[in-house]
Amino acid sequence: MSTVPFSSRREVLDLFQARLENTHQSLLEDLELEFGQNMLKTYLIETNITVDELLDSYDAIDGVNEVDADLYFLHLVGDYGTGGVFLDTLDKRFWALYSMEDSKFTGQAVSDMLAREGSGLDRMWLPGDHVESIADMGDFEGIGLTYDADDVFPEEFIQEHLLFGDLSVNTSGHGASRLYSLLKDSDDIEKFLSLSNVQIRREVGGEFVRERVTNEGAFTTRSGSNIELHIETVNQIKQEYKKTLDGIEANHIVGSNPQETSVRAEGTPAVIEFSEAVDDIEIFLKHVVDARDPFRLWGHIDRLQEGYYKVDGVDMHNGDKFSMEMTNDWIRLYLYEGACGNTVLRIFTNLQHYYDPSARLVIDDV
Amino acid sequence: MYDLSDHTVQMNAWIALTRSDPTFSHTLAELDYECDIVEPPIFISDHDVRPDVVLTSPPQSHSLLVDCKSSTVEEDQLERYQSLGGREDALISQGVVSDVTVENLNAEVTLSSFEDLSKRDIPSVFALVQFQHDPGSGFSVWNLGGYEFEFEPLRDVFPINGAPSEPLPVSYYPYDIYEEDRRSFVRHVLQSVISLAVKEGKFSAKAVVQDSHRYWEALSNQKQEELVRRAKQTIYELYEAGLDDHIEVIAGTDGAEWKRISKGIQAVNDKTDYYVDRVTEALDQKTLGDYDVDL
Repeated sequence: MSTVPFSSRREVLDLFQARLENTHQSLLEDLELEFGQNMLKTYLIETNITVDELLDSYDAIDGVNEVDADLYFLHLVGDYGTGGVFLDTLDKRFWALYSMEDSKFTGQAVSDMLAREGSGLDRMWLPGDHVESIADMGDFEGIGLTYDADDVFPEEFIQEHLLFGDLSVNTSGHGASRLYSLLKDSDDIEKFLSLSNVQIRREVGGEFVRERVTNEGAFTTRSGSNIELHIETVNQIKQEYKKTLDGIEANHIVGSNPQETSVRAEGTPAVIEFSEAVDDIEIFLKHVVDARDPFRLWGHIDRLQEGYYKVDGVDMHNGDKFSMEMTNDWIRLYLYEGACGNTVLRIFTNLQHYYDPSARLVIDDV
Repeated sequence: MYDLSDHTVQMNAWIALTRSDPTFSHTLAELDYECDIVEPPIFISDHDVRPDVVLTSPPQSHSLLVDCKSSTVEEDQLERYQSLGGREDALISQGVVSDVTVENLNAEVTLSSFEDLSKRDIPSVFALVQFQHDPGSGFSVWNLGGYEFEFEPLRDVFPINGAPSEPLPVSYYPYDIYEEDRRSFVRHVLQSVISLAVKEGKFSAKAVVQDSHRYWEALSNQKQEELVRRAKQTIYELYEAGLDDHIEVIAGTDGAEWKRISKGIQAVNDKTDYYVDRVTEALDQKTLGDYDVDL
């Protein structure tokens, strides 16, 4: 580990605080860092590895400064450029990566770090209703709707089965809420509203932050008066997500529990219900289970009977096995022992984003 | 059916009926039955019995010893099962049933099949269950006339009718030793090879087959040994079919240990169907000695 430009978490938070107040330049000059006028960005990263495993396996890490036992400053040199980010590993399941680099560098660095086969790292995958609920945490300031079926399905499939190939709406300001309500009231469009981000202004105890939160767990703090309020906002959203994740891992990992002289069947599949019947299951599955982005699911597709298919596959993000059984109306999604529940949320959220924004995830609570 | 043996389909059916899945009947889950897959024999006096699954509902103090049959039933086996009458204590003392007191436990033996076993010469002390499967009308489970369950709450839930839109789950119990399960075996071995290659980098044939079966621990030693042998053969076949771009045998391990050699294994996707079809077909035509790899 090289020279430490920060000796405590407090100093790092003070830097972020100064950034919120736009007074960070003098601090940075003292530290000889060049972050420019970029807004503070926070990415929540779901992890199944230790920080040492990350440091050993990710070649783009060119230098590490240990701020404290859980907070690191990483100097990254990759195809996407050179820069520094802070990695907070206090929560061993969800790390927070903070960046004051530009959004292009930060986005690409996070993608590169997570995309490696078997990296053991993943994003948060917030379902549409969870993103919508974030709006209730503060005053609504804007939304982004992105539906990208044409990233996964070919033109002829879209023409035959879907209303849109892609749909993108970004709106902010006082009319944003009204526009969203109008879109939701439109029968034709309502089913294709895939909420990809929400902007809020949150005020607590006289302090405020203005946040843009995406369905992939990325926060851009546009301004604010108190960095701790930002940290707590991130934590609150994370805790809600964790509840869902815990429910999946408690109830929907299918496996066996050894008894004295037998093994007991445990767990049920999570179920994804489509808002409208999927007409051509085999073609649908061929595009979803093709080992490529965005799903990155490899698998063998088998027709069990008319209108009923099975997939036995591997999630190439983390090597976890999964099975799917699919009819026109639903998917049974089986994860097996040792698997990460985040896989269910990634598959579901991506199905919302690329196929059916009104699809429903049926899972049991913890 | 489903490219699986009747035995494996029945195992999936019994497990599925005890799970709370909104897309399939959870009739037995509603009666609080848990499904235990049993390996060691249960000894009763001078006999041993070997049910495939034991379903127990602790609140109802009721257990069901289930033997999944094809179309034949051995007389000797029926005699051995009949020795259970009045000896429910053996199930508790041998650890097969827990959370129920000896005084309260009531146990029955049932034979299940896709055939109508009531046409065989079977004493009426046995409860007979017939599974029926019709893509048009759905999956149904019948308690055959003259062979009803003694336990009334259970008797009352039959027949169990799944709607056509609720096809039977088959992803709980992946395969067994039977010939009709060969394709499923190959699929699951390939799945575990890819999974372990991504996660671990190195893996053994034994680790692959253990990883591929959710109830490995419940399989007999004899079945486990045979499945390890078949897994070794299957990995060789996958290697010869084209997986040699991604994995290779570790020298000196006699084919028991393998390692990943490619940086990315996603390219396997383009040939997945070919691998499964070719290896399924090839498996019964070769012995281990036929493989031309570094052993």
